[in-house]
Order: sequence, then C-alpha cells, then structure tokens
Amino acid sequence: MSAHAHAMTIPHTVEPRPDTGLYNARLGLWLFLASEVMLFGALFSSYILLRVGADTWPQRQLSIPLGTLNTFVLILSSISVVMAWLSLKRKDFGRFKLWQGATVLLALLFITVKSFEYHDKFTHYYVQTRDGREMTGHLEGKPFNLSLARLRALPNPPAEIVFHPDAPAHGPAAGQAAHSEPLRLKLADLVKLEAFGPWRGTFYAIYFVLTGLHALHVLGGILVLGYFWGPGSRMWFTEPERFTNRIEVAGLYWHFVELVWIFLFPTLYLL
Amino acid sequence: MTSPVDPRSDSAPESSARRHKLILAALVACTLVMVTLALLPLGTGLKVGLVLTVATLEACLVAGVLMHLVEERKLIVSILVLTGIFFVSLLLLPILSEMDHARHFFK
Repeated sequence: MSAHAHAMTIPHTVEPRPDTGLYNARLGLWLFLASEVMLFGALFSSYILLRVGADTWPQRQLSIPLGTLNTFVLILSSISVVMAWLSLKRKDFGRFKLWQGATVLLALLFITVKSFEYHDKFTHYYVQTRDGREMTGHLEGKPFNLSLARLRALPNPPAEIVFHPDAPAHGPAAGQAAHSEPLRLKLADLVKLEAFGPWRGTFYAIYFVLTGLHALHVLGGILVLGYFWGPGSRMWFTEPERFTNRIEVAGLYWHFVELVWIFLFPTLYLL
Repeated sequence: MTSPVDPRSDSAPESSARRHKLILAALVACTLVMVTLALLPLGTGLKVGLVLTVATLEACLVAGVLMHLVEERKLIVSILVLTGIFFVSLLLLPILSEMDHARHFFK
C-alpha cells in the first residue's frame, strides 16, 4: 500500500479506538440514536401537552387489528435483522442474504399496511349540513381527500353527493346518524365536507406527524437494509469484518425504529 | 475486535440465536397483553399506567437484549443515561405545566 493510499484509509472501521473501546460507526450510531430520542421525545411531549390540555380526546379512532399486525411485523423484522448479523458472525453469507431479505420484506409490509391505514383515513369523511346534522362516513366511489372547496371548484360540480353514513356505534358522530342507508345530500346544503386528515383536530394532527415521521424512518431503514442486502453486500468478499460491523449498526438503527413503534402503538391506537 | 464485555465473541452466536427466539415470544406476549389490557373495562388512569408499563418492559427487552445494551460499554450507557434524563424532563414539562389537566386526565 502506498503512503498516499495509507493516508486515505478510514481508521477504526473494524478495530476499536483505544480511548472509547468501540469502532467509530458504533459510537457514531449511538450518538445519532441519542439525538433521535430527543426528536421523538419532543413529539411525545407535544402529544402529552395536547392530550392533557384537551377537554375530550378521541379514542379508538384507529384500527387496533392493523396496528397489532404492524407491531408483530416490526417485532419479526427486529429478530430477522439480528439473525442476519449472527449469520455473518458464523461466516454464513447465504443465510445472511435470507434473513436480511426477510427484514426488507417485513419493512415493506409494514409500510404497505400503514399506507392502507392512511388511505382509509383520507377516504373517510366528516359532513356537516346547513340544518345542523353532523355525520361521518364514506362518499360513493370512495374518492380520496375531497373537500367542499375542491368539489365546488370542479368544472362541472355535482348537484349532490351520495353519502354512506357510519353505523351509529362508530365515529365521533355516534348516535347522530339516523341509519346507515345511503343519503343523497345536495351540495348547496353542505357546510363542511372533509376527510380525516391532519386538519381533523389535534388527535389526527399528532397522529399523522408521529406516524409520518416514523414511516420516514422505516423508509430510510428499507433503503439502508436493502442496499446492504444488494449491492453493498459485495464488501463481504473484500472486508468481511467491516461489513459485519455495518450490518450491526444498521440493525441497531432498525431496533430503534421498533422501539419508537412500541410506544406509538399504545399511545395512538390503544389509549 | 472483541472484548471481554463484548457479546460479539465467536461463541456468542449459537446461544444468542436461542435467546432471540425467547425474546421474540416475549415481545409477542407483551403486545398481546397490551391489547388485552386496553380492551378491558378499566379506569383510564389504571389502563394508561398498566399499558405503558408493559410497553416500557417491551422496550427494555428490545434495548437490553436485541441492542445488547445490558452488555454495552460504559461510555454508551453514560450517553444514554444522560439522554434519558433529558427525555424524561421533556415528557414531564407539559405535565408539570398543565397539572390541573393532568389531575383531570389521571383521575
């Protein structure tokens, strides 16, 4: 190795630093996770502030079965990412590919389920009429994120909408919907029509912020884990120990993503 | 690259694999307990306390075992303890500033 090439070598990618006893990526990742704790901590703090300051707090707005399913998916992925790292420790590259691939697929499954949940909220509507009726339900054809302003801005706005109210036992307007038969509501009679997006109150605002930020972390994880499963895995054949360390720190990050969900699930879905 | 406190020794993988299967079962059990508690007709304060206790236990399993925090070096633990102090302070701030609302919420 020439003197120039030696000078370009990144130190402590495998061997620990004498002062910290850790290789650099591991220490760096833990410091990054500490900053992430504070980021999510600020948002959880906001959640507490909003919740204890609210006169009423909507409960059971989200699908518990889907939330539970996603929790199981993340738990499984957390185990599979450890198994991928252990496979490398056993010098079994084939098994690593299997476990790492499973982790990426489970992460994709999590995002898919989450997107179904988001879609369900953006096709669920709150309607208020001029005679004071308030209802929640679905529009005919389940259009995505319509509003009264958008409907009226259409080149040929419809004269009426077909609305399927929720059964009386569901939604904030429980008991106010006379029946769950489809209703024909004149556009001129509507005061408000909006989907259950972040604008539907503090619960939905904090729900979309918290789960949206978490979903971004999942997407980041998919990119990193997917890279190490695919093109990044070539490093195994040239620098196996360094690659094993990379998988370890990626796994630490992935465990943190699961840790955040462990608190998001009960606070948003169950309590 | 390994050290006496490092779980990444050559003999670790086999026992770790078994341990992680037990952890998987424990995490699934914790999740089911949380959901069951949430569906039981309990008082709000009790329910919040119980569910968050189980969630904390579940988080401890992930951090302690899967992230090897129980075997981690003092430097990392010190960083995380400091972070934990700031994190708890962040959570306490709104509760302390909204004591009246907090009393109403936890009654």
